[in-house]
Parts: sequence; structure tokens; C-alpha cells
Amino acid sequence: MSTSSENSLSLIEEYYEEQIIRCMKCGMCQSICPVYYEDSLETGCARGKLALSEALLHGKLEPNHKIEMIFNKCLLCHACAQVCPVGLSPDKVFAAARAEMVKRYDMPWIKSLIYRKLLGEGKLSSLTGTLSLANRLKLFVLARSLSIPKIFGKSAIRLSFATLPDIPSKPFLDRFPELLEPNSKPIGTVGYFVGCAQNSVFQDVSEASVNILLALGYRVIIPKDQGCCGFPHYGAGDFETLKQKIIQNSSAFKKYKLDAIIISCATGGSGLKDVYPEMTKEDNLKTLGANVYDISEFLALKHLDDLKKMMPTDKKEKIKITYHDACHLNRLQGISSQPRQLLRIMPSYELVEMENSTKCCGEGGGFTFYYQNISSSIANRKKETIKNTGAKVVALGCPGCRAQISGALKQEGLDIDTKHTVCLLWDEIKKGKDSNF
Amino acid sequence: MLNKVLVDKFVSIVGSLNVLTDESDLLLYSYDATQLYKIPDLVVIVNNAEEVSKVIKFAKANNLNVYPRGSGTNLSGGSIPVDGGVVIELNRLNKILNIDVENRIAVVEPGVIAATLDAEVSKKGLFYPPDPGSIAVATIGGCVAEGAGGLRALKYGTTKDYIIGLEVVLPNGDILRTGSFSSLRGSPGFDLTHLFVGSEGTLGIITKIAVKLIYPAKSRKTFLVMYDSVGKAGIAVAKIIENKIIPSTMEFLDKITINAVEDFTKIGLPRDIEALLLIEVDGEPEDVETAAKILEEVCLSVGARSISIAKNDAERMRLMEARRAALPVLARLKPTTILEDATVPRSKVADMLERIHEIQDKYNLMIGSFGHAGDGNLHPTILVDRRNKEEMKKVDMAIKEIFYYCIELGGTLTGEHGIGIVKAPFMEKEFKKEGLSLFRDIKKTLDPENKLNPNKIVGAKEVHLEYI
Amino acid sequence: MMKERSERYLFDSERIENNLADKNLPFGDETPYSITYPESNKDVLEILNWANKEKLKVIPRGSMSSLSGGACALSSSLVINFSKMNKIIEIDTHDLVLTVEPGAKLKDIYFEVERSGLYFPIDSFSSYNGTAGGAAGENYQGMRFAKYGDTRLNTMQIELVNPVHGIVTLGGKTVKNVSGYDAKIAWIGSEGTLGIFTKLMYKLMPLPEKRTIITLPFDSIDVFFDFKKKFDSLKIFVSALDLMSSKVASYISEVSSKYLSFVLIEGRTLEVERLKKEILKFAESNKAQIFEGNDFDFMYKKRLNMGEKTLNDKLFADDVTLPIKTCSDFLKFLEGRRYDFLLHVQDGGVLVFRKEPPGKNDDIYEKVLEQNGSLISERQLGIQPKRELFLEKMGSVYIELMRSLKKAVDPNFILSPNRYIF
Repeated sequence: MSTSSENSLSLIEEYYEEQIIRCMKCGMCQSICPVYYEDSLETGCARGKLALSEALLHGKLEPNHKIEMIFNKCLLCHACAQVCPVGLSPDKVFAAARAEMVKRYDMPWIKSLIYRKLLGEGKLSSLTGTLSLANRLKLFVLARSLSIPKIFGKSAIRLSFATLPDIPSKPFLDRFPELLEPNSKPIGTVGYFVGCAQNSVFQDVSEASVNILLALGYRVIIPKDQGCCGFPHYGAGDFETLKQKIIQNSSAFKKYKLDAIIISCATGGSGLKDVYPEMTKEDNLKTLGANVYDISEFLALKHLDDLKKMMPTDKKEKIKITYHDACHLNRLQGISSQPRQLLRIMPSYELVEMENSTKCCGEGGGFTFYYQNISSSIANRKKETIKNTGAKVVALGCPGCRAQISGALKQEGLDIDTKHTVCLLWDEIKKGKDSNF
Repeated sequence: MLNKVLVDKFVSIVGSLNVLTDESDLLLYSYDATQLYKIPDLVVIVNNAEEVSKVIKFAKANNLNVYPRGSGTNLSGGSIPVDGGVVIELNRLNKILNIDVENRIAVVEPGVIAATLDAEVSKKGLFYPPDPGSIAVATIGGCVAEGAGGLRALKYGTTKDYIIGLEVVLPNGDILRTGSFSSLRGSPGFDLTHLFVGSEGTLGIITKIAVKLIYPAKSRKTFLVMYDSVGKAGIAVAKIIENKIIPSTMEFLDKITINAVEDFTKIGLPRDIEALLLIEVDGEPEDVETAAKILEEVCLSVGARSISIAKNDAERMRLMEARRAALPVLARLKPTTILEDATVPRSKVADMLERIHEIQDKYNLMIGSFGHAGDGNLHPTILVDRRNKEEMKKVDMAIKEIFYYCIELGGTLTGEHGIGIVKAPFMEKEFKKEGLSLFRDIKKTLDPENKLNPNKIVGAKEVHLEYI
Repeated sequence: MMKERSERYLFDSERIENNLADKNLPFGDETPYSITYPESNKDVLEILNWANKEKLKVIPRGSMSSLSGGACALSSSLVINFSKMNKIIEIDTHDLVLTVEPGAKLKDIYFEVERSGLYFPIDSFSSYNGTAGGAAGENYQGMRFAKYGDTRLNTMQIELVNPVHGIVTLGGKTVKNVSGYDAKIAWIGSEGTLGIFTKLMYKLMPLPEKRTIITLPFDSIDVFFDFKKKFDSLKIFVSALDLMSSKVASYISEVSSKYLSFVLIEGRTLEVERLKKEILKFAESNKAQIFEGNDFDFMYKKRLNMGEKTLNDKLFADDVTLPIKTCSDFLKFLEGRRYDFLLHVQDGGVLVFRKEPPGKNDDIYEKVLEQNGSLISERQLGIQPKRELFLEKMGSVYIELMRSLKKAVDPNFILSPNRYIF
């Protein structure tokens, strides 16, 4: 695997030329693009941005900030790739185009702060303590009532309503040892990829995941020197930091002999499974030392019966639950039946499907701040379809979706909780343990 | 580029967010699905008929061409701003104003996506049959302007058969209502409605459409039939009609297309068959039962290699998959896909296909043909690499030969894609001087200064565009 | 010059009189300047070119069956009579098209087409004696409109002559055709004002396996519309579903009820049988009559002949269209005025029987326009007084546009003057 800048250029060239030339301009991408649906502008859909990419490549247009913003007008939801008759992945072209822009213009200080410092250098983890305190002191609630998020726009307001779980004062990687042994003889050894969100703010997810794996009898290894998966950097065009992350994570995991690497983050999962091979031209087995699974995928595939035995037996009235398909789980990894299988074995819940469960939530990384109105509009549609199910809980598998959807729901004051599938599962297992005593 | 004074006036009509001047925006409104392009001077996004009228009037007063646009997915260059000027984007006029179930009439704005109209009337138990390939993205205004067809034309007709009234903004800015918005029959005199249907945005800009709806069929049966020769398939089609069966769909795939489909979908199609027919009969249950029996007998009697009948909806989807996959799989064979639209009388379909095969051998081009065997509307799909200039020259010659033969067989230049720019050079061959002269005079009457979507259909001057 | 043409043209006023319309028609002819009988499209072109030069008005004529008066002669006009151009040129049983000369009689067409196992479902109430050219010029919309459409939607190709462009052919045998402007449809219904047809190609379909007529008596409009509601639940179009008042119905049957419904069902045998059963069930009547086999032929012809019979009895069938949901009220309104009627239930076309063509201020038209209906339903405006109402309703943008179009194809305004909006 090489990481020189030549690789970066050749990647972009490869994507630009072959993908772009094949675009038939048929416009099928318009039929499914959530962004195009909102404003019906050609800049919103894939074929428009592909035309722009071609113009840049062949010198018909000079790059500028307006064009940079047009490439940012994409959720990277991959829906266009699914309907494209030619089989293109336009979202990948746009990520490469963003990388071109970063190469040319570098990043504004705030982006650099977020992507290079907080996520890249892992400084976000060190903020965990602060965030924990702020959450406990209900500072976020205070900020909201003082209308502070308003300064940052619609998306900030919405996200300020996102329900945060209790945040421990230390990041997950500091709280848990690198090696965790199960109570009985290990049935195997798995590595756990924590991911930024699950390391700082959403530790309920990483805790639940690791606990379930241990309860199933796995030895769990959580390499301390792992970092952000790099997908946010891919999406922001910061291919340099992405490559550093690949090297970092590769070295962190490869030193162990693992049966599998588990991750509980949709974005992270697609980053590892999809972006890493794109960048390195080799598969996960080679780069990370083992195949990568999303936690719901792993559990449903291998341990559905085991988990059934761990469920509580006392009959209670079932709570209606619905499931949102994160783009990076459903489209990028093909995972949609597995989380539903897990939800269906949970006795406390009754699954009702929402309309358009696979439609993007509108978060899209930086998108939610670049295109606040569109992001808000998409979030509202998702909120409506959730409302219409009558469910009290919406389950999902992505931290971005979690923030966006819980924010939208709570902003309207709806009594609907947003939870990661695996947290719900762990809660059921705990109940099962109690009822089995 | 337009000077600031002009731009500001447009801004005062539609608002600054709806006027696009940036070169990156202009590039994105320069093309349509032909992949040809020409950059306009300005893009104006309108929200109602009054704005359309004001924009047209102001453009006219300042000698600017105006090009109406829906989704920009047409296949003949109709949306391309070939001679500089203003693109008017109509897709914000996207409301279904009314669906009157008892009168069976829907009134819609032109920016409604055709698939949306289809879905909404279905919810009310009614049916809007025209289903062009681009139904998921084309606007109904675009369908009306181009006279969109689809797979059901043989039995159900095309867009023109379902339009009973229009609101049109004329090239001089006047707003005109044609036909009726409330009664199914009537509409006295010269049928202006049908002059504007299929006029490809050259005679007026459509701002409201009254659509006639019918009842959906209650039952249907789907067949996949394979033949060892195109000739046999042609005979089968003829015999089906002779036996008084009018299928709602009769689609055809040639050998190249079948092999491409099999490569990608691996559904088990034999690679050596020359023709595949996808046939569907629909209607009242008794009609479908009887027709299906006769159809099966007829297809076998002509010597079908095999015939599969869908037992349920899931199987039907599987059979349809072969047909639906045709364009996507062909499009993956080479970097550039050029989808053509040669239409002949049904009795001449086999002849046309034979000739297409001869032409592809002559020019050594890869051409996969599929299409609507039932109504004679074929889509020879040329697969090339547009970076290869030599090959592109051969493509032009091949297309010319295809159209010439098409006309010779009593066919027409376009069954559903429209003339636009790409077929305008062939118009005289089909219509002769008299027909062309009549079309030009119609155009001149409505648009004396030739400012509305100029150089389309009856183009005054030759237009050479590049691929984007 | 006139002498040169004397073989082709009739100038003898007695011969002219003998060749004019039946004086029974509500609109009488003025004695025209001449009548001519072209035998080919080239003849028609020659005639038009000459008439254009002389600025002589021309009026195309088929069999004068239309009650619009569209073929009525004016005193200083040249009548172009198509009775010699009356051939059925081709019935193509594979491409399912019929090619005819404009003078071909509809009766002959029906006969020949059905003999080939095919079907041409276009008619007009008053025009059983009509011609193919008349069907085009008047855009006949008959009792089968809801299921099969009108002439416009069944026209594949037209050959048209006008003084500016000569002979133009538009359309063809292809089912789909969007090349150029869809003028082939636009011209249908223009009553010869923008061009004269010299050849027509119509769509054909397979002759239905089984054809049945049912007549159902009703004594109340409300009861009939209850029946209609049940019929609507079948969600199907039958070939014809009409409701007529008893006087009108008496032309096809002995009637003891106030109204009679005429139902024409055509299709596969089993399908027709089932629909028959359902309809009889909905009608809840023991006085229903069913006509099949030879009875069908007899009743079918009677139905098509109604137009001529009512006209002979000096009943003028005025045609209007109402939106479907307003039909019930409209019929009650007609009853209030004691007008007899025939309603095409599935699409709202109504024939209102009067003693003479109503004046433009007739309250029937007021009612129709109030309900957003149309001033015609079977034929065109022709020279009927309601055409002025149409002119008023359409407004200046329409009129200006139509005048410009007319000027483009007929600069001297010689084609079919004083009818429609010209």
C-alpha cells in the first residue's frame, strides 16, 4: 500500500476521466437524489456535478469557491449510484473533486480545526471530559434557551436539540483496557473499532457493543492506538489526513490476530469497507488484518439464536419501534435486514416500518452546515415519516443520523426516543439477565 | 453574458435567487440527455404563468432567445440553448392542482414529474398510461412538449391521446387557454391543444395541463418469448395482431442486447437467440384469459424456442427485468451511449432490424437494438467512445443511413424522442418541401421573430454542437 | 377562362339546384356560383389555385349530413363536391389502418372494414350518411367516444391542400409519431377553414368477438344516476351508454317509460356475458331488452339511423357537452324546459332536441357555459348561431392567433368562409 501524493492524484484522475465520460446525462439521478428533490436545481443532482467535474478536468472552467460549494452540495448518500444505468458512483467522484479543492485552496481554519485537530489528531477525545461536564450541567439546554445556536443557523439549532446520553468524563478508549477477556473460554477474538462519536459522546453504543460481544464469549481487543476511521476526512476532501488515518489504524489492528473487526458506526463501517480499499487498492484483510463487520451484521449473521436465548421472558406490553436505514449501512454496506432481525427478537418491541425508511436523514457530514435549509427540509420529511408510524422509539445505526433525527424530533417536542439498535439490544439482554435470576 | 441592467430586470421579475448568472450554473443548464451542449447567457427559474409571460415579454423586447426547460432529460436536444439567450426553468411549477375522479380529469402544472402524476392518480383508482423510459425524471410539461410515448402505446396511445386542454404562454407573452379543463369532449375547431402538444417548446410555453384519465386494467398476463430469428419474431407479432389481440406491451430485444443483459443479470437467457419478445396483455379478466391462451398458441405455432409465463407479480417483475435492464446493460459496454429512435410501421419492424444489422457490420459499430415491437418504435443504441473522432464520424453516417431507410419503409424520424436539433437535418427527407414549408409557416405565425427555442424542428440554420 | 373549365364545373343553375342539399336541413343552401367534382388531389390543388387567384370562396362538401351547416353553400362560392373521390383505397390488416378518399361514405367504410374482421368506431349522431372527409372536417365524436375516442385521436395521416403550400402529407402508418408538429390532429375539426382534405388514414381495431345491445327503461333521472353510480363501480368503459328521453327513444324502440337507456357492450364473449349480467342486476328491471345476433344488427342500424329519422321529423339535435358530474342537474334543467335529450353518460356529451338551431342567447348555452361545459359534442360549430357565443368566450388572444394561422395558409380567406370563427 502506497501513500504518496502520486496516489492521490492518480485516484482523482482515474475517477474523473472514466466515470465522467460515461455519464449519459439521462438524469435518472434526479429521481432519487434527496437534495435535488428539495430545490430541483441541476447543481443538486449527480449529472450536474459530473458535468462540472468534466469541465474542470478539461479546463473548460477554472475552479473557484462557488464550484467548491457545489461539490459540497452532496450528502454522499450513494442513492444516485443505485439508480445510475451506467453503474457510476458519482459520490466518489465528488469526494475526489473535494480533495482537488482542498489541494488547491486548503481548508478554512474552522474545517481544519475540526478535521485535522479534533478528528485527525484525536483531540476530540480530550474534549470528552468538557462535554461530559457541559452535558451534566445542562449547558446545552441553557445555550438553547439563550438562543445561542441561532447564530450558527438552522442546523445548529436542530442539532442542539439532539438527545445526548450520559457522557462519561473520560473517552471510551481511556476507560476500557485494550484486552478484555470473556467470563468463559473465548469462542474467538474480535477487534473493536470504536470510532470518534462512540469514543466521546455516544459511549453508550461502544459500551453496549463490547458488553454484548463479551457476553457472547468473545475476547475483545480494543487497540488503544486506533483513531478516527477517516471517513469524515474523505467526505471533506482531506485525503492527506485520511491516508494518515489508514496508516494509523492499519498499524493499530494488524498487530493482532483477529477473527473479525467489529464497528458500531455506519459511516465508520463504510469508511473501512469501502473507502480504505479505494485508497489502498487492497482489501480489509490486507490493510487491517481481518474482515470488518458492522455490529448488527455480525450479531444477526452469527449469533441470532444465542441472542434469542438472552432475551427477557416476562411478558410486557410491546412498545412500537421503527427503524431508519442509514445510507452508509443500507446502500454502502448492503445491511438492512440484519438490524431488523435483531429488533424482531427483542420482546419489548414491535417493529413498524416507516415509509421511505431508506431515505437519507439529511445530515451528510459537513452538508448540514453548508446547506442548512435543504438539510432541515430533509430532516423534517424524515421526522414526519417517523411520526406517522406511531412509534415511540426509532432505532438506527449511525451517530450522524442519531444527532440529526433526535434533534428534529425533539425540536418539535415529540415524545420519540432515538436509539442505536445495539443499545436497545444490550438493554434487553440486561433485562434478560435480571429476569433469569 | 448579459449586461447587469438586463439581469437586474429579470431579478425584479423572479427574485435574485431565481436568476443564475454564474458560469458554473450556466454550464449545468446547457445540456440535456443527448449529451450535447451550448452555454446559455442566463437561467431564470419561474414560479407561475405570469412570471413566464413577463420573462418572455421582456426577453422579446430585448431580442433575447428563450428556451423552456423541464428536467432537461429529452433525447433530441430540445432543451439545449443553441443560440444564446435565456433558459426558463419550469420545474418549480410542480403542483398537481386537482384530480377530479368523477370527471376523470387531472389538472397539473408542467413541472410535475410524470411518475408522480402516475402515482397520484393511481391512488385515486385511475390510470394515466403514457410511460416513457424517463418517467421517473421527466416533467409532464416536457412529456407534453415532446409527445412522449412509452411501452403501452399500441393499446393505450401516447401523451397526445390524454391531453384535453392547455394553458400556454405564447411567444409574444399572451396567455392562451386551449381545449377544455372540465369536459372530456367538445373543443371546437382547429385543435390548438394538439398543435402545442409535441411542439417541443417552439410555439409556446406550457404552464398548465388538463389530462384525461381512464380506468386501470384489472388483470394482466406477462410472457417472455424467445425466437431463433428476427423474422420469426416479426411473424409472431403479425399473427398476434391478426388474431385480434392488442397487447398492452410488446417489447423486443436483439441478440447483442440479450447477451449484454445476460452478462450483467445472469438470469439465464440463452446467448444464441436472435430475438426476445416481452409481451403483456391486460384488461378485464375474461379478456386476458382468452387472449393469453391464444397468444401462447400463436407464439408457439410460429416456432418459439421457449415461452415463459409469469405466474404472479414477483415473476412478472423478473421477466420485466430483462427488458428494463436493456439500456443500463448496453450503456455499460462502452463509454458513450447514443440512444436513437427509429420508427417504422409494425409490419416493417423485421426489415428495419435486418437493415440495422447490415449497417452495424458496414461501419463496424456496436449497435444493440431493443424497443417497442408492437408499435414499430425501435431504439437502436450505438455504443462508442466519443473521444474517438473517427468512430464518431462513422456514427453520424450510420445514423443517417438508419433514418433514410426508416423513411423509405414508410416510417418516421421519431416515435417519441422528438426532432429537436438532432433530427432537424432530416426533416425535409420525410416531409418534402411542402410539409416543411407548412411547419415553417406555423412557426412563423406563432413566433415571427423566431425567439422561442429557435433552431429546433424546423431549424433555420445548421447547428453543430459538441458533447459535454 | 370559365369556358375552359366548363366540363369540370357546373354553371347551369338548374343543374346546380338539382345537386344541392335536401331542403329539409335546417340550414339551406344559397345558390352557389358553381359546383365542381374533383377526382384526385391534383384536381383539388388546381381548383384551389384557380379559386385563390380569382379570390373565389370555396366550400368543401361531402354528403351534407352534418347539422353544423358547415357545408352550406354561399351565393358567391364554389362548392367542391367530393362524391367522385369516394374510394376506400386500402384496409391494411397488419398495420391496422384504413386509407380513404374524403368522399368515401361511412356506411361503406363500416361495411368493408367489418368484412375484414376490423372495426372503425367513429360516428356522429346525425351523420350515418356522412363521409370520411366529413368525419375529419367535423371531428365526429359519436356514441363510442368514451371508449374509442374521436376522429382526432383515430387519425393516422392526412393529406391536405391549401393555396399556399399545395399538397401536404402529415403523419403515417406508424403508431407513434412525433415528427414535426402534430398538425395531423390539429387540422381535424377545422371544417375546411385551414385546408381541404384529399386523403385520410384512420386507425382500425379488431372487431369485437361479441356485440350486444341492452335497453333499460327508467322512470326517474335520479334512479338512473343511482344505476350509473353502480355501473361506475365496474370501472370499465362500455362501447356506449346513453340515456334518452322517451320521444327520442321511440325512434329505436317502443317505450312506455319516461326514459330509455341504450347500452352497447362489445368485447370478448365471456367478458360481455359478465358485464351484461352485472348491468341487468344494477338496473333491477324486468323490462330490459337484450339484442344479440341478428337482433343486434337490426337495433344497431336503428341506433345509427336515429339522426336521419329525427331530422326528418324536424327535430334539430343541438350538441353540447357537460362535465360528467353536472349531467344529472342538466338533464333536470332540460326537463324543466321540456326539451328531449340524448346523453352520452360516460363522457357528458348531450344532444338537446329543439325545433330549430337555438339562438346564441339561448339559456341552454348559458347553463352549459356556467357549468364549464363545451358548446359542441358531436360535430363542429359550422354556421350555427352558437358560434358567435364561442367567439365571445374565447377572447382576443385566441381569435388573433387563429386569424394569423389562417392568413398563413389561406391569405385570401377563400376556404370555408363564414363558419366556425371566420
